[in-house]
Amino acid sequence: MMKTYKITVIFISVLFWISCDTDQLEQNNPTQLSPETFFKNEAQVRASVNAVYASLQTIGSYSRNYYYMMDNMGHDNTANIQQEANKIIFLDFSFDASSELVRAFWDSEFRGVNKANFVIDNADRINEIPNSLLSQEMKDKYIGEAKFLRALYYFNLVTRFGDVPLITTIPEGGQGLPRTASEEVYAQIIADLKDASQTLLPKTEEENGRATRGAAYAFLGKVYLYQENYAEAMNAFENVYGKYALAENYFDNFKEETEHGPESIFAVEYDESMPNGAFWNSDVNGEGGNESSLRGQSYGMFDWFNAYPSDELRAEFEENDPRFDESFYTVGDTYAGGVITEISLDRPAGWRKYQNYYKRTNENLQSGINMNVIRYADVLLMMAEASNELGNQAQAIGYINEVRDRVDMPLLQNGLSQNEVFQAIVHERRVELAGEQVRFPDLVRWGLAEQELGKYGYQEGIHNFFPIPEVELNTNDSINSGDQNPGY
Amino acid sequence: MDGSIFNNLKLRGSWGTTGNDNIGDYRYSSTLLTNFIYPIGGNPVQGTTANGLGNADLKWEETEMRNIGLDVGINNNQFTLSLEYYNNKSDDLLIDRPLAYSLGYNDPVITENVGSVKTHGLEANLGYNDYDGDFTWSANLNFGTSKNEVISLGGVPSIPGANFEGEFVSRISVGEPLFYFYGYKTNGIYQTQEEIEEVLTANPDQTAVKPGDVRYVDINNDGQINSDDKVKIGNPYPDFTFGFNFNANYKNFDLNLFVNGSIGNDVFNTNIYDLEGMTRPFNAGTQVLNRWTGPGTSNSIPRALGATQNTNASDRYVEDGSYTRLRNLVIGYSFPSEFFNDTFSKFRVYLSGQNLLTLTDYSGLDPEIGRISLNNGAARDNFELGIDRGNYPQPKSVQIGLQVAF
Repeated sequence: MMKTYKITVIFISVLFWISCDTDQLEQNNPTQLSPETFFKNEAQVRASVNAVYASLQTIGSYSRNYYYMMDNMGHDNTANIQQEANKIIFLDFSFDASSELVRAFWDSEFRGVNKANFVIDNADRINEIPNSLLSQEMKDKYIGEAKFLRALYYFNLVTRFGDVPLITTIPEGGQGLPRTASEEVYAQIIADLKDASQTLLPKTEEENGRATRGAAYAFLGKVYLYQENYAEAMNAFENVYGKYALAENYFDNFKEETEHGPESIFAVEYDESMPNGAFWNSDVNGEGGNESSLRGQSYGMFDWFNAYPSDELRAEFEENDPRFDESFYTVGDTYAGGVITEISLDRPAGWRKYQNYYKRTNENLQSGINMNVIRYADVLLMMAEASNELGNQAQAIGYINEVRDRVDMPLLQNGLSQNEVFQAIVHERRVELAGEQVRFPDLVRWGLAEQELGKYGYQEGIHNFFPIPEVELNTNDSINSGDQNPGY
Repeated sequence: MDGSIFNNLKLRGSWGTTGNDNIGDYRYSSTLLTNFIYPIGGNPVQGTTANGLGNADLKWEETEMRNIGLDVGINNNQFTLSLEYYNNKSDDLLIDRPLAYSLGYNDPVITENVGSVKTHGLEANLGYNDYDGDFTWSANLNFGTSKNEVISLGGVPSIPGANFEGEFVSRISVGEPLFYFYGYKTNGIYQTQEEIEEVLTANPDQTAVKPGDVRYVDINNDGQINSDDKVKIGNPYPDFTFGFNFNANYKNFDLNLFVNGSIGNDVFNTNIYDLEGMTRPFNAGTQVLNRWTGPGTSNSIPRALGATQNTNASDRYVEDGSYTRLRNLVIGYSFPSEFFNDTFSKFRVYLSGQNLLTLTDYSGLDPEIGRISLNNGAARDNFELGIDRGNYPQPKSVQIGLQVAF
């Protein structure tokens, strides 16, 4: 009897012993990293931040589509016939929700947001790393970089799409989120940039390419300016003013050798000596080596020549403005291949800004020239605008004159009215920042887009925003066609 | 069965449940990807981020199979017949559902168990053998139909898939066959501005569509063409498939012939985008020589460099993919053994050909669309059914052979 009892006990305990919970069955792949075991040291934290930058370099965004869309809509460009139809539609505002470029831009920017959230949402794990391995200041700095980039991606989204899903944590469950009111999105952008401005390093202490304290303040000022909060814009810009300087030569901003000069605040980095094999696969994902830009090849008059500077842009330049010759090539100018005797298709000019023709005769597909996202001249002109709106015309004229003085253009005299100063800013921004993707958003926020672009097809209330891409409506149960932007 | 002409007469039926775990490994957990590079401080530095979304609730797909069949053999299997009707129901279908783009995941799909599909069909197999005399032959004909219908998707009306040029071109919806093609219906080409203004009334100032552009059908009559006007434009599943196998021997000659085919299936031919899209002024098919160049010139090929909407997913891409193909043909001759003084036990020369003849109206290179494997997970490929992405065609080949045995 005792024996039977013992055997039964052993049998039952064996039964308990061989049962197991599902945690033991669901093992993570031991050969792959998993989020649960990451963020153990500085190298891993830094890698998670590096990935957020990689989303800047996609064809869907700064490496190709962004400059086509913005320069076309702002009519800094005129298209040659060989420009693809899916890009030409941004000249006559005939794009709709099936636009491949709008889809890729939406997709690219949200992938950037997701990568930033992967860092920010794991702040607890990062902060658990002992300070002896990684100081608190550096932890905050890395998280600040992710916040800066999340703000940049969301700014690109909210300015082009209006209300967009605001996602600040790692999304779980796979359910799409509804559109968030743009005021809330802007509030998040401002909060992120404020945090970043407190934790990022100054440019002098940071590696080239990373977001810096100055970049956070410059961008914060820009966001306030877009919201017409001029006082706060000035407060933010004051932290940039005097900490940067205009490059002695205007063209230094667009040359590989001098691109990290005193005027550079934040740029998308390119380096053609680095891996480029994955360029064409990097439509939206930013994976692999895609470390060059197609800008030179796309616009270049000795290469694809898909676009050339529009008549209205060239006409905006004052006579003898040296920036004309620094921005465009015309017959008689000299490039690396000698004197230009003719321009193909009998075009009046070709782009010089962002081209490699100053040092070689063709673009060879890949350009290592950085794309400026924000530079000091832009900040000075935004300060002029904010000052002017606050009623301080003299101060505004001072900022404009800093920009004009660099290229030895005649200085504006004091005594101009608020409207005259505003017109001077409109002119100066178009000329100084020609082909730098700011004209279209400037016109939209100034309420001048219909007046300037209506003749090309722009309709206020429709084209100030892109349509929500059709594929988002297809995949997101929380956004349906009734939530589409007006007119699409 | 003595005295009967039947040597085999069998009624059979079966019922069972099987599982399918035909998906990639570790789909239940999320992983990290370390393949992001960016220039920092003059060096290409590496980046790491979360690749996708795991699904911890993932389980096997289950198929309940029911069939009933009849096998007949007559006159010592000179004549055979086999009939089978099956009616299967699959639950917890394994599908890689595209995630909302705004979630921003690098791997933009989640593998899920999503609903049920019913499949039923009939298979028939007819055989005849004649082994008497100098001329012996056998023939075998098989024939099958298969219809499937999605009966639930767990509350979701449909799931899109197969991205082409920024649009999903196939989808699954309740009440429809799996992976049907989805897009706009077309109704010719706009010939005049007045025709456009009659249809696109919602925004008379629109600049996209001009005479010479494709006229899409405004299904919901709201005066504009957008994704709400997309409908089912094709079904990748055939009405029926068949195969015919024929063997014959006459004295020392032998012949084998195999024909198969598929009738009633549609193909989404993406090559049309390049051949007829005319998105740029070069690299097009000769059919664009007949494009629209003014009112009345064409009602099928739009103007060159027209609205980008002309290349949207529509029935312009959908073609009848039916085909009948002579898959294999072999003709042989075996020399009598005395011909070589009994040196060889067999000495046969033969001529064989594969895919020598294909009867089809399909305009692409090959109506038999293989599946492109877009990813490791098998389920993801399902949405690609019947979509021709310029797949490599099957070669036509002829071989002369010698078969020798000692």
